[in-house]
Amino acid sequence: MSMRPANFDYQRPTSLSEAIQLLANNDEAKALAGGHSLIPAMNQRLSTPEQLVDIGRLDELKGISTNNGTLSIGALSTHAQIAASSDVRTHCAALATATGLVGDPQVRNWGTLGGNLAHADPASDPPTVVLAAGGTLHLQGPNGTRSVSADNFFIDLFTTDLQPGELITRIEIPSLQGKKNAYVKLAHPASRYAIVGVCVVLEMNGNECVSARVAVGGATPKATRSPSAEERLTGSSLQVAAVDAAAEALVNDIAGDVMGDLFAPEDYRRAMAGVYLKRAVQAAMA
Amino acid sequence: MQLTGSYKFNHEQQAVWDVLMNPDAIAKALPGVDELIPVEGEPDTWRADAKLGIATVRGKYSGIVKLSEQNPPNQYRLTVSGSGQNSIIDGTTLISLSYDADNQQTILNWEADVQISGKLASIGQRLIGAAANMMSKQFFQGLEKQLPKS
Repeated sequence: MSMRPANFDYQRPTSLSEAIQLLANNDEAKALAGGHSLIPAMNQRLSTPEQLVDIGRLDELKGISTNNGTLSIGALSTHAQIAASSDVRTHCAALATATGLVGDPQVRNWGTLGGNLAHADPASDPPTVVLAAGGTLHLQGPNGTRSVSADNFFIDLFTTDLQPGELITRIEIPSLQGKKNAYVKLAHPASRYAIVGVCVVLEMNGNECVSARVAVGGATPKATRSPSAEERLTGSSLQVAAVDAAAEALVNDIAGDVMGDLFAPEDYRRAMAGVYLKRAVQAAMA
Repeated sequence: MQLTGSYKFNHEQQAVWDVLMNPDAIAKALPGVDELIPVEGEPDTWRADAKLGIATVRGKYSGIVKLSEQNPPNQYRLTVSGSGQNSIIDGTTLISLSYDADNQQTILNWEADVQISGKLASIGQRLIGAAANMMSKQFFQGLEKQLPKS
């Protein structure tokens, strides 16, 4: 099996607008950020873009900051930078956890949040957290800028709302400081991809959970919220019976969509989705 | 690999059957396909080229599409065999229609047996089921768009 890519043209634009122009001009061009999903596919010749537009050095897409209670993460921030960021740890601890669990150190040091979300691999960790956290993706393309909520961004397996020529510029997440949140995953022992990953965000008033967001990934074709599990948790005091009911509701919500493979069949993933919801609630409240 | 799924059309069963049997409509609905070219001497059999992509995996495939075992307007078999991306794909689907008079919907159920060998099989096993579901949904939505609004 060949492990070298087919020939391609390489461009390294010096501005975001130039990058968008290049991508908009060529259907067969691909944006290159960290390259940790695209390059392996090219090396196997499963992906043969005519042109790579290397956006990796565009400063406009870098940096992590907090403004007025909103966490803003540049699309080119690497998983390692996000996992180590004190802003992220303070305002979205679950994302720091998730990015710290992606792949291996090489992947975390090169792979970027923007590239990860644009790729929308169902077994990846960050989409699940960005969805549960109520994130917003800021996009720029040939027709200008727009923003899309994570709820509307992930459409299906490896399929997002990104239009031809559009790039993710940054990701905004409302501060979860004061809300309990956690991400837990069952990782494939070799690839570290999520067999199941669950993120919960719980707003507490004393012992009562007044609002909840629950998202699951790994088991489903895309990061998916579970409205029924959210309903079971909301208004409860997170007692065992309520969390058990939420786990069952989550499993029912995703039942028809669960993907299986030789390593982890559908039934096993369904069962683990319930187990990992309970663990996510426990981790958030710990 | 065994896969199953269903799709609901808000149309009469005969109208759904007619569009399922119409090669121009099928060509329009098949993701990445421009036209179906009849194979001489083989009834209800067409050659097609498709340009398909999921994620970074994009490529050209070519293959044969065949309709058989027609029992109008209730059941038929759709067989696809093709190759591309250093892989061979063989699939056969039994498609059954029934009419739900209460909801005025035609319900289509499909049961497929898909065999994939080569490079796609080696990397894509965890994704084949989900990819098949996504593409079948695109196909049936593509057909439904061509039915008159009811």
